[in-house]
Amino acid sequence: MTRNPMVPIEVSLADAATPIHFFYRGQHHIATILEHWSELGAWWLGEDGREMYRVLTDDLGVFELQRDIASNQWTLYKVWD
Amino acid sequence: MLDGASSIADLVAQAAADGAQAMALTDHDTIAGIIPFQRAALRAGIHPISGVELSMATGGRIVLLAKDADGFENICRLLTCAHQRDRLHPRVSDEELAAYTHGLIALTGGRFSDIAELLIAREHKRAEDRVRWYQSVFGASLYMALSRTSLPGDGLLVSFEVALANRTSMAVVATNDVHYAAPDDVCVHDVLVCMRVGATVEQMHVSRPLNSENDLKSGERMTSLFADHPEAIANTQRIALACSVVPPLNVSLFPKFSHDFEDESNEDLLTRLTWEGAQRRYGVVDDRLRARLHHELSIIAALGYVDYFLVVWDIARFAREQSIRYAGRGSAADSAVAYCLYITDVDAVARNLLFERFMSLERAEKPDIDIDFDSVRRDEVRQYVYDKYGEEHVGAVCTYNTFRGRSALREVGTVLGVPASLCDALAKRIPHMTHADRLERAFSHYPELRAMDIPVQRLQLLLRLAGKIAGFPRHFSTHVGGLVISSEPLLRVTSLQPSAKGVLILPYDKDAVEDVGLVKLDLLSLRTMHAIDGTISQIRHRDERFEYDAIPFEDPETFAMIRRGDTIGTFQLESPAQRALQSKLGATTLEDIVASVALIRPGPIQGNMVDPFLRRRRGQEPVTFLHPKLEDILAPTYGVVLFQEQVIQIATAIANFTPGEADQLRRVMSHARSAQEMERIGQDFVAKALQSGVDAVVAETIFSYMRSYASYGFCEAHAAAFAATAYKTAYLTQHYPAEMFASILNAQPMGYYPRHVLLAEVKRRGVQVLAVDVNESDVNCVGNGTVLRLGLLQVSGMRVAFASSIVDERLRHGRFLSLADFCNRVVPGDRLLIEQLIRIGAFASMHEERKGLLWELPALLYQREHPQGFPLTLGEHLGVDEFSRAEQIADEYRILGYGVSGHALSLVRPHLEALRCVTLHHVQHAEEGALVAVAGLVVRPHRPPTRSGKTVVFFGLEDETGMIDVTVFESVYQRCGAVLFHPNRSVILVRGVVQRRDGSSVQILAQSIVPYM
Repeated sequence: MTRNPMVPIEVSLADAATPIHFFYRGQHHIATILEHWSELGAWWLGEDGREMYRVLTDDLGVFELQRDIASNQWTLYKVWD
Repeated sequence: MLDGASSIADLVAQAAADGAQAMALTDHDTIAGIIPFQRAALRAGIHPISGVELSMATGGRIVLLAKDADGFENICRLLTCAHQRDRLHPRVSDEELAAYTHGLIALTGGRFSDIAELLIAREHKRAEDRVRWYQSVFGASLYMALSRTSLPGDGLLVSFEVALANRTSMAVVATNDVHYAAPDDVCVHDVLVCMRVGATVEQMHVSRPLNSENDLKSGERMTSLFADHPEAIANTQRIALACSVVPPLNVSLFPKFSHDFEDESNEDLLTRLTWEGAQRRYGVVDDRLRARLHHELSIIAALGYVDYFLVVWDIARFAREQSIRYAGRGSAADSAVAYCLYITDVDAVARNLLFERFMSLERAEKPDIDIDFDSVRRDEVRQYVYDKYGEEHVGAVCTYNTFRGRSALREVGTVLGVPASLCDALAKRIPHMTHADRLERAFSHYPELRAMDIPVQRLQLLLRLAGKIAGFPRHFSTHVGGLVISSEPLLRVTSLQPSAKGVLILPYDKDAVEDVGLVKLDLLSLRTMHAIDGTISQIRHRDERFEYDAIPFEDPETFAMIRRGDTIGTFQLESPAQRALQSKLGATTLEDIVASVALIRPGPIQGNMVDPFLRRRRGQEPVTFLHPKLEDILAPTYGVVLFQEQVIQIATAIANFTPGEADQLRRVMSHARSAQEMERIGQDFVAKALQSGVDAVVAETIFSYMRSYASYGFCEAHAAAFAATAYKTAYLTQHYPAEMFASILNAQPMGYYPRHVLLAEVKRRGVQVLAVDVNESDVNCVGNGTVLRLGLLQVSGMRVAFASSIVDERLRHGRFLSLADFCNRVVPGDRLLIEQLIRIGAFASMHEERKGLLWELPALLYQREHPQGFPLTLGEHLGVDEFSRAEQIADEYRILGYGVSGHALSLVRPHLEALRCVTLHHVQHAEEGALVAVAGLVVRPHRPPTRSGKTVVFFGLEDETGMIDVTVFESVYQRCGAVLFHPNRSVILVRGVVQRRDGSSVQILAQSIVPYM
């Protein structure tokens, strides 16, 4: 089962684009990035593109994090229960 | 098509800027872009690799790159197989792929390959089997293509592909699935994909791009993306080195003309045919003609175009033998040899036309001979070419239908979810040839576009995106007449694909076919030729001795008609601008018609050539020459540079250029892109003029005139070729209006005016127009002296087979006695067609009523199908009211495009009189400057280019008494344009001032325009 919290989160980066920690009801350490891709967004409505990360955390949680490219704002997009 | 979102020029420019050394073009299922790509890449110092991304019948795609000419031929063969299997969804089978592998490098893998599909489905064994099959076909020339475009699953797919490559000892190569130059262009790509798959931006579709990673990445970026697989990068270089530049450009593939005269060379044959033709054309070959023909033949031979002339001569000979009407046009009419070979009908020697405008040693370009044929019989000529040279050696040239203002607006609007009705209304208001990248300007300029109900932001996005796709190819279509003949099988240099009509076309346009060494023959279809042929045939029913070729070129009545501007129906002279010109020009000779054809063109109008020409001709302005040497050249056009040939003659006379050099000068001047380039040409001209003793100031002034006119001038030979046909159609219109207009109606669509205008004109000429009648009408319209009977094919939607069956039955078994008799005897066609015939009164010779017949028709058709059934007769017993006259006329306009029972305006004349509107007949007799109010149908409103750059609208206004030209200047247009260009409105009220053009024909200068209905 999945949930889409769509809440802004804080993310720590290893380099310019690689997340290593994020904070959502506590700190989560990213063990590995399972998948990374980029998306366009609804450009015809003025939406910007975004980077998507599906990550596995130390406590074996699977999350999808979204980075808005223009604003550099991170959002917790999906939680895999 | 509908996938690439950047032009070839932009992609190559970006690759060059990134320092790319090699680049491959691998369009989906076509090599259409290969030649311009090769040209652009070589210019930019990039090694071009020719390839294709081919769709497989088994699913997925494979990339093929040509190592050499054989490889390119195999790509052409595979593409031809694929397109012949399914024109809209070309696919190649495994067997075909296996048969044509020599000289090819194949790249499988990548997200859209069959291998990737299997790997993503975790079908590793099947993927390996498939790879091994490819290896059996391509051997070591097979590579696993790796692609990283930041899509979900990219990492996993690449790892699977590398593992599979290792298992099968296959090399990997890094690829970049480029669809546009820069990431920002992804919106354009998305729009194009949506168009292709029929989706809007709000709808999901698997083909739409997920991100903007299909841009052209630099070598540095690619190296970084594949840092974990350096061998994949290294292999790109290995592949580039293995591929040579194919197909080779600038070779000659024109065939040698074969003939039965074994002991005669082709050059001797051309020479003999030319002299024989000269003897027939001129009777006596004098020294001037002899020298001219020797000169032309020597240049033709030196440039290697003897066979080309013989091939064209042979085609013209075939047409003559088959009595297919034709006429050569264009610069070929500058050739006396072409005239002697009966390819053209313009006497280049008598007109002193310059052969160098057509062909010169200095220019050494491929010649271009265009011939117009009777539109109905042109395909017989094409078939002759196919039969003579073989299907493998002949193909039709294609054209690319590109996005222009209207199409871009319509299609981008649909993708953005703008309602179809709104898209349609917007598109219809856009001037016809508006470029898509000038739409934003159009919206601020044209009042009829402002009143549209569309949110501003959405409109801005629509216009911006439409501008981005301006000029992008939309789909292939067949060139109107371009045919190529090749000495080698065409598949050596091109693929072939069936058009919608089944004709095999090359995917190359006219420039690309020349680059690969083919020569295009333009065998054009001209409906005017068909109308002329029809007219001659009808005239001969009452005058067997009539000879079209014997029409006198000095007929005073014809010239009087032309001078009045009564030229509706006349080839090239019927537009409002031409009719207005004729009133001012006062044509008395064929030379005036030649000038007319050249004058009414965008160039001369914008270049301000028309008024000086007319003033000088009328003696209102002195005819002066800057140098005595110009007098002979410019005297025929009153000192105005009107023809391209004159620019060549001036450069020859003043600056001692050879004619060939002078034509090069003309061409460079015409296409000069910068002030610096033009200055350099000017310095060259002046320096040479000084050397030949011309004063510097005079030389500079002459050059400034040439510069002004060079890009506007018209080819005199072309004008002369058209003028002869124009005059002869004018003669036919004057002396045989019933036959001529009947034939024009039969050849529709052609010419400038709709059917109701043509019929009003023929009636004005005293011809009685008779309605369509099943007991009287032929399949086609028939003119006979003072009567024109409309043919059955004038009925909207009428099929030739049904119309023929009506006429055949009547001829075999006599006139129809009733609708019931008609239904019993004629093979029932579409019931709708019989209804159409009833609605326009085509049964009037038997029944007066129309509505009653419509009621009766279903029962009659039922009885025909069920003769033993219960007899049904409804119409006469029900006593239905007949259609009103207004309903009848409305039906006639809808079905025939013409009111047989009366003009639409006659119905509302009492009301118009109450509004103080006068008829157009009244206006014809009104005084100059009188203020009038009139109403009528709008005929062909258009906005031609003007010298001032301001918008001026011209249109015809037609009522039951005639037609008049109306001019609308910018200020009125800005207020009233929306009324004039409303797609669904045809009757308007105009208030304006009466003007007389030089005291003869009348026009109205509009002050206000309002809708009437």
